[in-house]
Amino acid sequence: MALEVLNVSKSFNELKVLDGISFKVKGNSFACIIGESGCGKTTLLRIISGLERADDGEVLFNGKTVKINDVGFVFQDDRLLPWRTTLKNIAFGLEIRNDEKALEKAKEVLKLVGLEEFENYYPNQLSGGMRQRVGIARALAINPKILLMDEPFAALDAQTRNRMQAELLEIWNKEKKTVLFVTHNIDEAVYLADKIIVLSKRPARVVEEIEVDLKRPRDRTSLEFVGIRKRILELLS
Amino acid sequence: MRVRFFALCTFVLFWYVIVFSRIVELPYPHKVFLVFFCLLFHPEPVLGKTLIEHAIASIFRVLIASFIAFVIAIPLGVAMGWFERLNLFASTIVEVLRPIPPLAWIPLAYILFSKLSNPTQTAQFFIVFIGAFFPCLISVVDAARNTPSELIEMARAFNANNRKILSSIVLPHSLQGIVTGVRIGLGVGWMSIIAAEMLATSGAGLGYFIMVMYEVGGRIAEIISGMTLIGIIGYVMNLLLLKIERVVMPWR
Repeated sequence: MALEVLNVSKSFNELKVLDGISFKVKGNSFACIIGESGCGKTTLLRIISGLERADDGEVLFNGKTVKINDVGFVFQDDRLLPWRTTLKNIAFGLEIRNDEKALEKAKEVLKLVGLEEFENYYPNQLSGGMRQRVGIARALAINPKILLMDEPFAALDAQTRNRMQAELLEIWNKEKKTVLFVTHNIDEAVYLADKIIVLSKRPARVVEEIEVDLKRPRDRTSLEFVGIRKRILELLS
Repeated sequence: MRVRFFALCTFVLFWYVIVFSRIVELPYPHKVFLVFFCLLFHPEPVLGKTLIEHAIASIFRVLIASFIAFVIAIPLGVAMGWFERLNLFASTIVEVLRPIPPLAWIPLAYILFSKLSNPTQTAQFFIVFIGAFFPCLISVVDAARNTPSELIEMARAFNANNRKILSSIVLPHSLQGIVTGVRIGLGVGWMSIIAAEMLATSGAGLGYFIMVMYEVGGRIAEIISGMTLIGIIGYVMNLLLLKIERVVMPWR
């Protein structure tokens, strides 16, 4: 089981954004894509999800072309519907699929992300971290094969961010998915990922794929951790 | 609340000052209040109806005509907000008609509907319709068009088709514009009916009442009483709709 990105290229008009991106992510593993802002990370995610078409190349999961129903998307800005409560927001994707058990399933995911008490709250009554958890729950509720996360914690403060990373790993432990997590935060990538895919400046190419073999929960100050950070920093500069 | 009370006192005091100074000929406030409360429940002899009866006649006309206006304006507004070409087409016509005040339609309306069985009523409905329709339409179009593209893209990422996006993203997002549109539309409709009633024999209605009181010899206290009730009803309608807004949009 694996997610394969094969030679994906994309240009907008004359501007080449992605230049032959290829990598492979093992099924149920956690991969981070790291690169500078504006290098085309979001475009890559959109192509993998099927929201955008690649000019060239393909994306396969278990040898089959990835369809939009295979992926759950988590956005940087939570993109919750302000008129829906937490539970109804989580149920959104299920409702789109006309799932009769939408609310039941949403309730289960609500528990998974630990927001039972906030079931009937509206997004503007939740903190930034809670809103992102709702966004993650919404993506998980449709039971996707692949979870695509586009800098989901970028707008959070440093402490909330660290807490959310730990919580995300806990959720991922219970609900094994293939996760592709885009970030420009090196610390975040090393803390989360089994594998880090380092992208170059635009047009983006894969500079290197780094396997992170550290035990979880990871110590951000350990020698190995800092060593990997240093290497990524060198690759990016 | 104390500020509001103070404001009312200032207003009445100002009124007394004007009466005492004899800048214009105006009855004392207390006299008008007396006439006002009398007229609320006792029929005024010329038309044989109480102020309440006149008010009900006007409110009835406004509610019917505004309702028809909203039933057309709301779906049309959402559709215009969603379909760019329809918006281009319809807004071209709307932008020409919209600046014409409802009052300017009054003469034409009375001529247009003169052959119908109930020409006065129909013309008045039409004028209120014009008054309520455009503000509501503009407000709804605006709200629908301003649906954040991020939310639409989010829905697409969950594989929503256009129908689902329209019903579960654009429509709820337009709700604010719909409620505001109804509130403003009713307000303009209310102003329009008073004017429309002044120009024809309507039998009842606050506008008609004021006009008749003027024609039978400038009965200022009666005229101001009618105006007062017009103001109160407009104020209460607005307040009521603001309350309804909080009920239908609990997330605000």
